[in-house]
Amino acid sequence: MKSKILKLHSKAGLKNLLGNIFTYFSVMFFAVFFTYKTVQGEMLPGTLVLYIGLMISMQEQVRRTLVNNIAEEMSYYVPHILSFKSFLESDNDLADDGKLEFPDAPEITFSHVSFRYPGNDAYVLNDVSFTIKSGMCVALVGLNGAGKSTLIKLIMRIYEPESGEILINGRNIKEYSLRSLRSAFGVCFQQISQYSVSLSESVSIGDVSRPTDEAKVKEALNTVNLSELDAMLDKQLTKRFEEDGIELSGGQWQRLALARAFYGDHKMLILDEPTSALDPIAEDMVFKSFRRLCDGHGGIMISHHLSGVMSVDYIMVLEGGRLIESGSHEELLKLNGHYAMLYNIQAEKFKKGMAEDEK
Amino acid sequence: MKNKLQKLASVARNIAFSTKLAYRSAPTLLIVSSIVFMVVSVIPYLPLFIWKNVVNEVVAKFSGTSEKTVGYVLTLVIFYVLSLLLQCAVKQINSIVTTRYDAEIKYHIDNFCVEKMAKIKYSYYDDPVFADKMSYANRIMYDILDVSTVLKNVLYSLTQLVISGIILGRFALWIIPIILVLCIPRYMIKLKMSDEDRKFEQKYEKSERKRDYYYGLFFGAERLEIMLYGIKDFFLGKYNREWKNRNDAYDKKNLKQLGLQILSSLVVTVSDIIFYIRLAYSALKRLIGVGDITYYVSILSSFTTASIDIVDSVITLNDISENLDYIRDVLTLDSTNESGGKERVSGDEICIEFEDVSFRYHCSERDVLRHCSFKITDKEKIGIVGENGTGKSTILKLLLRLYEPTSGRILLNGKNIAEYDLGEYRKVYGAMFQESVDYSMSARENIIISDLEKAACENNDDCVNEAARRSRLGEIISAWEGGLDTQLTKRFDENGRELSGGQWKRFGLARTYYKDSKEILLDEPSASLDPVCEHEIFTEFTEVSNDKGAVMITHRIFNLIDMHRILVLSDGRIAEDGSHRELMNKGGIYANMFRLQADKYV
Repeated sequence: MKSKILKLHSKAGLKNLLGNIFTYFSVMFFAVFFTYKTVQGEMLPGTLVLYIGLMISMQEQVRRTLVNNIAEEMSYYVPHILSFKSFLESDNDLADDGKLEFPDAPEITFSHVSFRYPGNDAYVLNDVSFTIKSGMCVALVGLNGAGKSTLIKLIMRIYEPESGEILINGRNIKEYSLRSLRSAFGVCFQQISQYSVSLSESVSIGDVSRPTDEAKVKEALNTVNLSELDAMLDKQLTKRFEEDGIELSGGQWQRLALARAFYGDHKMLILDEPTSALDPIAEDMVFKSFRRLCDGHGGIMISHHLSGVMSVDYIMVLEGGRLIESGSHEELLKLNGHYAMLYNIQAEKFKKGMAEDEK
Repeated sequence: MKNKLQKLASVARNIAFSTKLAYRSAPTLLIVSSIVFMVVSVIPYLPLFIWKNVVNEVVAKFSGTSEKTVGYVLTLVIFYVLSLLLQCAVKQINSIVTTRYDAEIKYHIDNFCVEKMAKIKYSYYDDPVFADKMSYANRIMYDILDVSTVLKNVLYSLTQLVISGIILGRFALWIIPIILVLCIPRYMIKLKMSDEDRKFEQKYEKSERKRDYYYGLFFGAERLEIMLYGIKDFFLGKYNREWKNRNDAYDKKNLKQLGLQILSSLVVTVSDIIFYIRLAYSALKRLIGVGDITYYVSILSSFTTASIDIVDSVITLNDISENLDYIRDVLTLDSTNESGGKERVSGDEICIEFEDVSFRYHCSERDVLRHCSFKITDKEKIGIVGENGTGKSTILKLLLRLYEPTSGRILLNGKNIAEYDLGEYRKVYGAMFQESVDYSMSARENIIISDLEKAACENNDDCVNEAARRSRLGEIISAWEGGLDTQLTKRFDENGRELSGGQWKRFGLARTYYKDSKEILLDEPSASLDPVCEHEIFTEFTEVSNDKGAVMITHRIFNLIDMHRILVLSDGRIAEDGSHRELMNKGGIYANMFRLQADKYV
């Protein structure tokens, strides 16, 4: 590799040298010619000095700008410019051309919705149909890769279905203004962003439509059991920029992300795996808050922790991109299908643990 | 004065440091490039000298006062152009050699840094202050290279200064002190400006990092939230404010410096004016030829340029030296292998004991662990539970000697773990941490990197497949066309596989199982796994760890029922220690946590 680079350099150098010999020889020809003329008295010495000087500086300039640099630099920059241009031309987020305001009491209907990620053959969602009534508290359950997170992203119009329709109160989701749609949801995603901003900003970016309301920030922190941070609202998070910045533990970050979803007046809550880093006590508290805040609003939660799932109104079980079961906890247990299987795996262990206790 | 001397000494030390590094990295190239460089600095005088004679002869011939033949004059012209060609060729050779030399040095600096970073103590990594320092040092690392460039420039200018000084001195010695004296105010002005520049850079260093950070958010995983929360303007506003503040201050500083800059250039031209008057006078008196005028003008300009360049180089060197202090600071941070003894782990049994261990992270005011004492006997399986932030992961990190206890001792088979040879000691453990590590390599490589020694001794994939099977990856991998050779992630390979969080977690487990360790350490192995996968993995874990010891941290406490013992951490202390049944009977924190969940199921 190293010798290859050296060879490449030497080759380019040799080419340059040959080019130089050529140009210098033509300069030499004219220089001799003009000098001869001057010596013969046909030209003034000053003119000669001017001519030779001009020739040398001209050939240097021509070589430098035209031959070497422009060709070399163009071959270097043109691909960069092209790729930047194609970046600028890449598709923007969906156009916000809907007119309707998102309703206060939304009923969400999926009608034969199928979806594949761009460039993938496999369907992530396959002919999914369901209705979530307004104010309903819903849980999505299923194995890893069943399409739960994708379903949420479709509701928030990060992607559009390949076929089928998503309706809000009977109108196609596209008829609603994108801004009004997205700001209607209080969201907490699986992947938690740890922003280096102030604590109060970190919560209030959950709703930027209104100026930061400190009382509400405190309330949201309280809801997720982070009220110990109440006194530090103006402190910066992380020590990235401030030496006295606050460093949080994994569980605290997750609860902060939840506070963001709970902050502000959202019409619906969407939580994706909100408790993966939380201990049982914090988890229980989050599930209770979700249930409480859902009342009158409605919400959707994804969780593998069935202890939190069972208290919701309606459970939807996804497998391989299809909706295979839905209903209340009791109904699904009676059905004795996929959900019951998942539930029993966990219940067995607790039963065993409690039985040992009683022995 | 003493300060100045100290500074001078530090500059000298830094020059020695980088020269030594350069010489050790590429001795031949350094010598060759220095020789070529010397030639480059001498050669410009050849065409200058010939040109002087050409003009003198042509003028003489023109006015009919010369005895030389026309052929002689024309030959001079040919030699003049040839000397220009030679100068150009030497410059090109120099650029080839220099490019090659730079690449070689970069290659060595990179190697040098990677070696150092790999050895540096782990505790430096999660200390934000040191992390900043390291990232800054990384950014300015190539300043080591700049030292040799500046030194070369000084050498070049010195050669120019001597040669043109000699030529100039023979014509008018008195001009030399004038030029040199005039350089002093320039030096002072430049020094002041460079100080101001450096202070500016330092002041806005944080602002630059902030800009990088806000800008990077739009290209990272945060994009999703930025889109959904509609917080583009929130971060863009912060980004633009940083730019505006910096640019306003920059303009202000430059405006202030503009006057000084013009002044420093004016000072130098004074000597030019004096010299030109003198030249014109001599030429009119016919003391020198016409060719001599152009000749001396060029010589004067090269002398002035050389002295200015030396002044500027000294200032640059001063600047770089400050940065080098920083780099050397980082490079001299403690290495892990410098601490620790030579003992080897002997015997098949493993017995671990924490003796009154307390720990506090660097720069923190709070003890994470307080007076923890417990024992793990051979092949014992231990679960650790506790609320977030109670120091569970820290126990594993202390055990792996990523940190040292602030007080107390950790013993392995009765000996303080610090007495063991670090490499040998770590072979005892196979560990998986909470954050899964994703390598853009093949599936096989992703598994075997936990024990490359073992991989080198094997000529089939049996153990790799076994590890994959145990972590429930067997079916996934065999469904891929490339099998174990499949590349993970699309970073380098368009056909590479992108994995879900749960799948990466399973690769982490496979890595842990592949290594022949006596003790398995797992930190939240099931956090993002679905119930079926979680169940399978814990069943398999029980089997794998049958003939091994294991320590597992998890919030999913129903997986710990079969553990020999469970440690409950609360506020950095071991609050409870016993089997599931014992702790349930005790009715403490553990029983509380367990019932909280179990009540929903039973």
